[in-house]
Amino acid sequence: MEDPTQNPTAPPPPAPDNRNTPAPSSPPPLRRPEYSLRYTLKGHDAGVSSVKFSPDGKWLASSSADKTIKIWDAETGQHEATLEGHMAGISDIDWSPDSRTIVSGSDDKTVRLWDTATAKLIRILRGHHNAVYSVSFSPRGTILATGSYDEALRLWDVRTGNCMKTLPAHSDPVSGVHFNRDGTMIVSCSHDGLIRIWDVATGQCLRTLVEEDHAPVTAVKFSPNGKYLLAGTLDSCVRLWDYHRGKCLKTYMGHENVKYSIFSDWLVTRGSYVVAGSEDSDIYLWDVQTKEVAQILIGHDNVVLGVSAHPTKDVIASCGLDKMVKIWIDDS
Amino acid sequence: MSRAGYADFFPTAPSVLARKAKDERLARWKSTQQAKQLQQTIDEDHQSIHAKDAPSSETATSTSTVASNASYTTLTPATSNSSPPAHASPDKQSEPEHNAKPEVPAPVLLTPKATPPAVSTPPARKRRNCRITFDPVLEKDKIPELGKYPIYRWDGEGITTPIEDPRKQIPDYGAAAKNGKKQQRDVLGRVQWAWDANYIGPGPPSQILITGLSPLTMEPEISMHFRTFGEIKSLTMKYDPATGGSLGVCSILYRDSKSLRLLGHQAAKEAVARGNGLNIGMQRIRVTLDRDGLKCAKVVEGILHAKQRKEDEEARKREEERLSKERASRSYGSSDMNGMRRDRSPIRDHDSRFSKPRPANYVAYNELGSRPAVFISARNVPGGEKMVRHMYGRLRNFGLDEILTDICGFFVVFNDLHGMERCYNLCNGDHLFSHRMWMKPYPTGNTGKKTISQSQRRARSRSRSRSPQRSRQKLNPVTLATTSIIRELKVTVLKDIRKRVADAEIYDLLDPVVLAKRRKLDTPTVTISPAKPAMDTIDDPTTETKPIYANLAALPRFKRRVRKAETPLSDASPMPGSHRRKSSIDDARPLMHRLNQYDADASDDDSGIGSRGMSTEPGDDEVSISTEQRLKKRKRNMGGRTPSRLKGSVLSDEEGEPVDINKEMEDFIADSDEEMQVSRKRPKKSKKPKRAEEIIFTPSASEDETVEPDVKRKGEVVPDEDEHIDMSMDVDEEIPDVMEAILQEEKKAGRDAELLTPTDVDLDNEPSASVTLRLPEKTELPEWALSTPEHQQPTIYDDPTIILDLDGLQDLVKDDEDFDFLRAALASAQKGDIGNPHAFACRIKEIKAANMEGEPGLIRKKPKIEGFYRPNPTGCARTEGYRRIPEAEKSMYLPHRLAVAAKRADMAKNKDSNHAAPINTTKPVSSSRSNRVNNRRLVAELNNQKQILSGDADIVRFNQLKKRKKPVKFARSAIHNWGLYAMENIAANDMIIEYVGEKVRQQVADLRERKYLKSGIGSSYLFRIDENTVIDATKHGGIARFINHSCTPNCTAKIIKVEGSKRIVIYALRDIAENEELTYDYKFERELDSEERIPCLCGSSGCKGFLN
Repeated sequence: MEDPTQNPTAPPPPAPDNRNTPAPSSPPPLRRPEYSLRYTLKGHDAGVSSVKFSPDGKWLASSSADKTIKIWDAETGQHEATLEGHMAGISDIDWSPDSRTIVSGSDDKTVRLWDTATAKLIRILRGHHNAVYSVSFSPRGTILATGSYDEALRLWDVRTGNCMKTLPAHSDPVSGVHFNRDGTMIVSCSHDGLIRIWDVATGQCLRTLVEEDHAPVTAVKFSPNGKYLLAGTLDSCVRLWDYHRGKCLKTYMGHENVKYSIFSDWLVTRGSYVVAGSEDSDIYLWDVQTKEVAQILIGHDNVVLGVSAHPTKDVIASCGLDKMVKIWIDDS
Repeated sequence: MSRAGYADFFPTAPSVLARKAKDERLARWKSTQQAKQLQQTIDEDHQSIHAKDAPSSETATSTSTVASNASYTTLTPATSNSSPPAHASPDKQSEPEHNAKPEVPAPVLLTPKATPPAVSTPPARKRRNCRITFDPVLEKDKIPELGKYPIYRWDGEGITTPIEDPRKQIPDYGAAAKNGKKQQRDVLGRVQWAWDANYIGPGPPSQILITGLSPLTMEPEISMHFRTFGEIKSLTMKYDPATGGSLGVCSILYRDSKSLRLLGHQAAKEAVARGNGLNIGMQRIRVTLDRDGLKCAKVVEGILHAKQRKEDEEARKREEERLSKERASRSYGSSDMNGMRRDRSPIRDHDSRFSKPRPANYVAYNELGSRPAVFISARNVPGGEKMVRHMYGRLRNFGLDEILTDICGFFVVFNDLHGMERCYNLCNGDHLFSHRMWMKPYPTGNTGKKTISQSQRRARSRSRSRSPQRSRQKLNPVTLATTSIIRELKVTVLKDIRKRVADAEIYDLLDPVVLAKRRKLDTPTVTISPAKPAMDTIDDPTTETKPIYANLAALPRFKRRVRKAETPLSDASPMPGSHRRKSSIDDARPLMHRLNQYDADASDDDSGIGSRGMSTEPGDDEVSISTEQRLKKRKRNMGGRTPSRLKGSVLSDEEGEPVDINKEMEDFIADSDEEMQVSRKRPKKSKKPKRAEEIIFTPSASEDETVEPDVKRKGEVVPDEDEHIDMSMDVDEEIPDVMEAILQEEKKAGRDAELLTPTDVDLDNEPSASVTLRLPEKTELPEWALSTPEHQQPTIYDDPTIILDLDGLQDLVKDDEDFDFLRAALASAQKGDIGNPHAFACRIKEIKAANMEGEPGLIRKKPKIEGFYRPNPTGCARTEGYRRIPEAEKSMYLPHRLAVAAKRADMAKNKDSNHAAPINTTKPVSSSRSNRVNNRRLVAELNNQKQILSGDADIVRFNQLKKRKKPVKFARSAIHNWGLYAMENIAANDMIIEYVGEKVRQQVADLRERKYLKSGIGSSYLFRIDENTVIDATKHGGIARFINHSCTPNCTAKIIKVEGSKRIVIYALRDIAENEELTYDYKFERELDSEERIPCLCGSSGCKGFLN
């Protein structure tokens, strides 16, 4: 695939990175990532739908279709706590920015807030009319966005538990929501192939990005610097969008994704990579600029549903339908 | 200048010459002033020099010359050092001399010693700053005397006025620069710290003071207004302690509210901010923060003081008047006085006389006249005005006229000399409180005359009497009015007191507990005999139809109806207690009718029956009482269980309880009896034939025996209280649950059954009818007996409705035997590892509570996921993978669609039951006819304007059709994504909206269609006008593009010509209701054999299934 922006001699275009790459001189060639499997965390009784590292880097939380959330120590892989209470399998979890609260959305149409220190339920948020599919905390920790099978995007006030807004976001299940860095915008994607960007304050739809074939978009995430979007679609592509201009800049391919909602994440601790799971049980890492596959991590037995990058260290966590959570570390 | 320049080489060049001339002129101009200065200094020098030694003169002169030389170089170029310094006048310089030495003589010999101290010449330095004072270019020939050359002012010389920064003249000079930037403060700001946990001292006030209220404003009103700001902890209206009337002052204390997340002081602040200046009723109130209620106290005090003062003044005035009148009356032969007396206002106060306003330097002596008086010095009797009253009281009997007070003392003025003398003789030196009244007589006042003639006296008194007479005559209507008002006020006040105070008292007296206690005091013997319980399933119609009364009864004693029941029955007086009650009621008789009114109204509202509530009352009373009794019965049951099978530890509890309960029950029953009885009277009056049975039931001391219902009632089981640890909890928690169930049971059981025997309470005299308790025929008394072998009863009836989860099982298992059975039952189940069982149990219960929305404990229905739920086989939606959800399934959970479906169902139902819900065709605001008229007029005007402009016709591009548009809005639609809805009722055949878009040719439209399909826009917004033109609203258009298709539409599209061009307009086919979705038939070509037929989602009965 031709990338017109690519030019081997010239410095690369600005990386979607919160670190400024030195512009004038060409960057030193970054070593390829060499992740290797460190821990395998077993404990779930059914497929693990999502893993997330806590923002402070100490914990790893995994949600599963067995209605539980398990918290593991990020360094050692020790199982810390299990949060029970949901009446149906859990599709997504997210950490609050202070790493003290976990929010989980489940098939039982409820969104639950858990206190990680005591492993107790704080609050149940009811309102959705069908399974809650994805949840996201705002960077300030005050607002919660949830997307659900009932095609609505709901914004909740965390402190009171009230639903502040219900946006008639899509005409198909909302498969992904994410806040941007400063919490002013939410991006949501859905099985109808649309990626919509919303203004949090007013609830207005600011932008709609759509790819030609309307392939269902199953995951969407803002870049750490808030300028780009990463969207995974069921045509085995992960796309990098510049939403200001409404253009798709990069497309990462090579993996397989036609049925499951597979998370993708940014790996920016050393170089800038995009990491995503695949239905062929592998985890793919692409270089952001070159779109090359930088590494393939093999270890899972079944579809890898979720990946998460540690905020500070070179650690990746992955989970899948094989009920296992795996932690990969790049030592070199 | 050190460097040799042009001027040196060409000294005669015109420019050089010119320059020289200019310099010279400038120098001349300056030097005039300089010279003056120099002159002075030099003179001084001279003197100083001459004072000093001669040899220094040389140097002095040299220095002075040098000094003069040094001043601006050109001052004295020609003069040599030897020139007399005094005459260093530059005027003598001549131009040619300039040529010789344009430069300054180089060495400047300034010996410091010789420098005269007074001279402070500026050191030789380069001229830097210059300002042009005369610019010949600008001022062309205006001031010719200055010449053609510019004049400079160097280094600001010659400026005498103090120089001020001209920027200071400009207001806000630095403001622009400071915009957005930090300002330097010249005043040290005071730091205000927000109040938080570390604050020392009292927190911010949470109390507010409201003043300016109308005296008629009541507490609830104020509370209503101020409740919005926060949770009120206490609201106190301030009342006048003497009269009980409202002072119009209220203080509210706010408490910290968790639910509103508002601290008390925040609420108070809010209240002040919003409440101040608020209007309540007609009054504008003032609200201020009031720390610790001090302000309030002050205000109240102030008000009371003011009141008091006013009162005093009035009293004094009245007293004065009265006295004056009295005086007049006392005078001889004043017939007018007698007449006056009749009209005199009855209320006159002494005090009014003493509050006359007096000037500061008032001297009482002067006012004496020749009246006889007695002087009491202030030294002896201090106190001034206040003492006057007392003195007056003391000396009244001596014919006292008035008492004049000033700082010296008191002048007690008498009507006649005799009185004065008597007073003096008798009271001189008398004690007045702790003072002694030493008197000094003034028999002739201040005139010095010994006596005054009687006639004089008479005349004086007459004159004095006449004036108040006259004034009194003037005041007559006023006084009349006041008297009548006061009389009326008295009456109303009495009524009010009766209503508020007496009623409350009576109400409290009727409290059955109180009553029982009182009766107990009166009637110690209360024989109780067992009665039969009625256990059959009997439905009492009244109870079932009024479930609300069950809840009402749960509230603490709402006994008004009972009282009402009593009042009209003054003839029947069964019990002394009620006697007493009756009597008190009789006292307040006049108000009773009002009470009745209230009650009747209330009961009317509640019961919904039009009558005065008599018919409903018995039912109500029964209900209310029965629920209480039901509660009692539960407790009875608890106590009644045979303790034999229970564990020892629990036994004690049980035994303890029944006794108490019995006692309580007695009381209770006693109370309820009375009420029952009394209430019974009413039904008797209403002559209800049904209630013929007389039921007497009294609880027996043997209640601790098994008391159980004979027959197992279906569905009305007393839930077994747990004799285990959570006994109390269950009782409490089950009361709400079980109320309904027990209610019915009790109803039948013996609500009426518990009554005192008439004999016990002196009812013999009464006609038995009055005591006869009318009950519904169907009820039977509960039967209390032991379980006999033939007639075995289980002691416990399990509630089958309880779900057997952990809580349920715990509830079910009552003792070891049960536990063994349970174990046996579960023997086949697999054992799991739960860790610590207690922790596990806790956790499980918590989770259940959370899922059941907070209610821990026994549950009767499993926690399930409400609404639409499609369980995913893999566990959760994400692990399931992508699946295209069919529309039919979507309609089951999408809220909008559900609403639409519900409405459709409603409409269908209504149609069936012949309730043709007519579409409310209220006329839209402006009739279509008037619209048309207006439109036509508008168009005509516009055309006129266009003609006038006659050139720029395009500026006024006006789409007439917009005028006829109806208010519509777009929103999510059940048919497809977005749809257009009517915001008001639309009549049939009304134009709704125009379909606006880009007008394109047919070929362009085809191209676009293909392009849109390629780019994924599945919806088609191309609307054909005629064979060759199409309106494309895909990217640009009006909201008419949102109208969806339906096979049974309510709109239709027509093509009309407006101003020569064809337009697509949507008309209503029929009457359209508000918020109804607009639909019309797209009229796509039927493509029956195409694979891509678009399915129609209109959901209407005549749906063809496809759009095309």
